[in-house]
Amino acid sequence: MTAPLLEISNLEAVYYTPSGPVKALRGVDLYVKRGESVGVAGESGCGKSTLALSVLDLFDRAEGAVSGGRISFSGMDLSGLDEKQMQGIRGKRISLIMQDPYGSFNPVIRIGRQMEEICRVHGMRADETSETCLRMLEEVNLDRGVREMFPHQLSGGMLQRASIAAALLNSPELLIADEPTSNLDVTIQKKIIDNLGVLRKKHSLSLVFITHNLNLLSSLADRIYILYAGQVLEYGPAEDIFSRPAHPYTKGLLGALPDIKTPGSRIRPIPGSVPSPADTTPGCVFFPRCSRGSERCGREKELIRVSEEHYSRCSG
Amino acid sequence: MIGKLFNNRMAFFGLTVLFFLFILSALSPVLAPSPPGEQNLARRLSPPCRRHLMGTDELGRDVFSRILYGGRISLSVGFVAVGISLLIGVPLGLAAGFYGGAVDSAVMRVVDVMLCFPTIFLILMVITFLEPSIFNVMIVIGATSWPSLARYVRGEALAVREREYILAARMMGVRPWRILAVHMLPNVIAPVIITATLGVGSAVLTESVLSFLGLGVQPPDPSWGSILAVGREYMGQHAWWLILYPAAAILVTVLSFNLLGEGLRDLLDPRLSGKKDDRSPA
Amino acid sequence: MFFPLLLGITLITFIVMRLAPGSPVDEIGMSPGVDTRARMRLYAAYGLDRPLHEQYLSWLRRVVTLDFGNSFRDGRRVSSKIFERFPATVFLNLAALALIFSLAIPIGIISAVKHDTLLDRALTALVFLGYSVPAFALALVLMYIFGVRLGWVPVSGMTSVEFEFLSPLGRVADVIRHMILPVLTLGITGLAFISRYMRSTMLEVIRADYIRSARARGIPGRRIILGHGLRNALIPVVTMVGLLIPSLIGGSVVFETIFSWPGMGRLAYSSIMSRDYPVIMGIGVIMALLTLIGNLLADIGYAAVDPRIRYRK
Repeated sequence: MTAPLLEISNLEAVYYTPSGPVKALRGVDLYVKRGESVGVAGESGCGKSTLALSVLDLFDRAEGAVSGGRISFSGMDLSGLDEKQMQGIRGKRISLIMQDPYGSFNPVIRIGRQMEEICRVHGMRADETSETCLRMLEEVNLDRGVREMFPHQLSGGMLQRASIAAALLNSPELLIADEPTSNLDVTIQKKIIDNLGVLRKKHSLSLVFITHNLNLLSSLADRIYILYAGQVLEYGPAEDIFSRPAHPYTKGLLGALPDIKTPGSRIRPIPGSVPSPADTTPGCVFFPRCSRGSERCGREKELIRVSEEHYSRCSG
Repeated sequence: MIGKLFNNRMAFFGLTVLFFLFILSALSPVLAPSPPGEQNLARRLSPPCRRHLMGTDELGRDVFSRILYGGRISLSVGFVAVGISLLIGVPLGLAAGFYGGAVDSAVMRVVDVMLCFPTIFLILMVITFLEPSIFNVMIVIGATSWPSLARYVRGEALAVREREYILAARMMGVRPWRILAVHMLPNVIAPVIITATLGVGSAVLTESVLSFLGLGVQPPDPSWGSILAVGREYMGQHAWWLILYPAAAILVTVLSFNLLGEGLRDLLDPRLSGKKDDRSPA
Repeated sequence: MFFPLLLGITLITFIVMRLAPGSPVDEIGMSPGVDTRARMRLYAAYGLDRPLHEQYLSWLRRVVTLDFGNSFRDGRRVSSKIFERFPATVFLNLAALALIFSLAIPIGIISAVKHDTLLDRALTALVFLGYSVPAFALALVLMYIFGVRLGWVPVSGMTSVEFEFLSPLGRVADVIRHMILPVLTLGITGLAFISRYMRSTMLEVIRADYIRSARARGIPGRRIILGHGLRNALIPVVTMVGLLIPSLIGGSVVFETIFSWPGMGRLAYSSIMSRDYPVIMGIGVIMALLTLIGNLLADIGYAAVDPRIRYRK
């Protein structure tokens, strides 16, 4: 087996709060093979976005930091790189699409100029930038006139397309999409996801798709990680996760999805909410909300093999 | 609340220094080596020495005593002026924000026009036809410094007005003055306290400028500004103590009020700390 | 907005001046040996015998053409008295503005980018000190140290006595030497104010999502700060000019007096001391007008840097 494109092992990250550092990631292991599409799902506050920030080291100095573990990309240890080398990776080999489309472009600079800047700083020849930007806008189904526009002149959906175009300008190997559609309405959501699927095949991209909506992953992901309170609770091939979920939390998440095949079936939300990252009670992190917990859940739980490629911290 | 005040280093430092300034001013008759007006022409322009800690002025008066008594005057001017400014600015700002419409535009037009004039020029203009005196200085500073306060209070009142509980109170027929007093006043109190604290410092500064220009506290009453004016006159004779000490006194006082004000801002209104503020730069 | 404000400005100036109990006419008129008829003639000559609103309207009609009448003191036209002093004041204020922005913007940026470091703390403390320092007293301290004691810079006026005999380059150097202290002390409060403001807007901008997006795309740090952040941070700062200008112009009254700078501010002070109302009123209107123009320019500048204002959907 060849080495995966992205391999995250035992990743820890902290946020600094007035009452001391708080762990947002507690030893996450995750890998993405070349050309693969990986979904990361979990409720808000589980560490999904932190994961995205950690890979590209985008923390604000005073806000938080990666505090342990290893991220290797294409055989290279990312934590060993200095800021300048990281800049060469960001937007060139690994691209990121963020959740809020309104925050993806500078409000006072035209979209086209911002896109061309991304090409230029990564060494594209000046006579190619304009051509490349136009081609990418076309691929995300945007009018070429968007180049001359300011962000406030575009809708959220258009902005998110533009930021996908911006992310793919330099033909990256890996695209991390952090809830790219959760701020958009459902019809646009579908179009953008389909668009992403097409682009992924066309550009042979590897994709990490982060979402709180497990449903979105059914058409998009090859494998799925379930993240909860800064830990991976379960991961495995998409069809295994959907058809044979092992962890009670995954089952809960699936139960919380509307089932279109059985009319009249009810959504069963998971009671309670995600524990605060400041909570450091030992044992299974899901235990307080779990419907079938027993006293053995009070101990720290390891990921155990369920089947080929399918692991879970609990067998239910 | 008080505990927090002590934990905030800025506020604590400002408050401590102000406390000492108050003590010094209150006890100036006891602490001052001589009455502020006592002349000793034989010892004119004496540099600081054991007998005159801060030297003497052109009439041989003890500068240390005059600075102590001057502090009394400056602090009273500061507080009274800010009091007047609050009495005008807060009701006008509340009324403008609460009633809106014609009241609002009338108040705000006056505010806009007044803010077009440099405050110090407006004060100088008015003070020319009021005889310069401590009392008039208080009134004029108070009467010219309310517009920015009123504008600020209006903004806060406008924001509060649209909240659901105020709307609910109005729909239930609670009388307007009661809504103003019971619901809106408490909401604007924190920013008003902050603005007022900073305002005292700036009123002290304005008083000293006026006195320096000969349009504030009149001789023989001592004032930091008028000591500086003498210092300017005798600069050629190297009477540096007539400049350094009153300058330091003004700096320490203004600095302390600013420290306390900024500290209070951190404590009372965290959303404002380090953010935009609406005060004019001088 | 511009013209109603202008009207309000003239009205306030007029009211304030008419409220004044004393006038030079009284001073001449009350002196022994001047009888009532002579006093009435003087009142009529200055138009002080007509109803207030008539006085205002006739005054306003003339003000529109920048005719503020004649000085009570020397009988010269107020407009020419003001305008011969005008350039010196504008020059001083523009120099102070230039000083303020050329220092405050870098200070604000550095402080924000290096926020919570030792450098930021030192700068913030320094700025706070500058914010609290009584600038007019500082002017005297600096005047004593650098002018009287060390003799490095002149302490009064705009030119030296031998100005006429200097080479063109020497003249420029001479004026610059005279400007150092007035500009520095006039500008220091505004400098502290804008630095502080710049730091806080820059800090807000740095934490904005679009900055993180730019970083995520591999745009180098310096480019993000100067190319993306600065422009956004400057937008609110530009509007601060509107508040800065009246305080600078007001400051010129004090600092021109201290440094004997031959400008409008010093004329204002001497007119106030001699109750020369036409001159005071004229200067009041001009100062407020300058503020209005400053605000107008700030609005235009705002639109120039912020496309959200320019292109309303």
